[in-house]
Amino acid sequence: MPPCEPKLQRKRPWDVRDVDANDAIVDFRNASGAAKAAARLGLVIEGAPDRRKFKFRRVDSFARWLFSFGGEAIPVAPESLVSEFNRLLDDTRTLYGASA
Amino acid sequence: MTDTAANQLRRILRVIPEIGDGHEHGIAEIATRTGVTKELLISDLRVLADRYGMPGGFVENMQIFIGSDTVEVTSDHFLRPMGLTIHELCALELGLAIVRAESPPDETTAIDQTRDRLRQVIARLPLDHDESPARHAEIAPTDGLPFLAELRKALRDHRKARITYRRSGADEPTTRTVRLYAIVPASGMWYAVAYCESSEGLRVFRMDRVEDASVLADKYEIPSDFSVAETLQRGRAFKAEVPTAGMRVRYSSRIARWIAEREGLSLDEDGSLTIEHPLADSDWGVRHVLQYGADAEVLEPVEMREEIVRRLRGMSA
Repeated sequence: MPPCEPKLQRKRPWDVRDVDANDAIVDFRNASGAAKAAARLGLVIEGAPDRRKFKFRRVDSFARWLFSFGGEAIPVAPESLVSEFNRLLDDTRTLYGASA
Repeated sequence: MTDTAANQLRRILRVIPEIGDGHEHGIAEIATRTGVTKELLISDLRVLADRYGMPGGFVENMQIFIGSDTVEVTSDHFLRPMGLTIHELCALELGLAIVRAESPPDETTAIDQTRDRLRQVIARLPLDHDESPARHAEIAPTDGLPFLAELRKALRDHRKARITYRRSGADEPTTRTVRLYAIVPASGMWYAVAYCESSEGLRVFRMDRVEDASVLADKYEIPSDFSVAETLQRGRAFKAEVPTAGMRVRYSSRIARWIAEREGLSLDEDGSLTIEHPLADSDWGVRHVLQYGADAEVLEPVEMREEIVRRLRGMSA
């Protein structure tokens, strides 16, 4: 039997849409296993070991993905991504009450 | 010829394995190869792609990008054509031969006819029929798992292994001696199911968290009542290293129907959905809930809710 062929390249949900790609800068803070694996999907930024550069086309999808790391992956730029992330944060804090 | 949903499904099942690799493909070329017009090909793909009011968290399974001349499809589904490999056809033929030998005479005619058809199909297939990568389903990738082969060797020889394992969220790994009972793929990852001598119980180890492994001389027997199926629930390795409570999550009505469909459950009267998930890993719980933002809320246990709140407090872009 021939060996299984792994997929050579896999696009992420935020990178598929009929628009130009944007660059994002993401800070990985105290990253655990899952966030470390996520960081490996980005490009290394020289002089900033905890930052990675990503390409994205869907700001909502990309912001939700970063949000799922619970504070271990925080967007720094662009402003549209930071705003979307903060909107998610505000909505979710409201859901859990003022204590959040 | 009148087009039918069945015909369209057949076309889709044929075309997705050809293009579902995340790379660009020329629409004209794919249309020619699959024997349809460009317009029909695009129409079929749009059936899969068009969604309205799509909520967060439900876009991972299939992504379709239709450009002016090219199409890109990223999919975890339909990657394998709805056809069998030569090996599978031969296995079926062999299986039917065994069934025939044990069947009453009045049932052998149908079995013989099926075997004849199988043989004809096998004879017609080209020798390289199985060599297309699209014909092989991907169980779970093995790259990045340097100790998989070593642990498979330990399992094959029924020899104990010493592993260095980093639990989810742990700062430091621990070293332990294990008796491997199975190494299985689940949800795109390989897991070692093993009796851990340190914790004196059955444990599931994610292979990408194994940081070192070596085979020992000591041998062991796998208990006759061991069941892999019981260990892996619904295709997911849920058993915790340390047993924990479940996690009850309410999904808002905005996203609930997609979750209900996926989990085979019914919606609550208000259109929301509440599910109790087995929870082996609190980090998984945090990631699972937060990916839906304000559309999913942890109800129980209190500790998980507090953990979500703690994370939210520390998050600020």
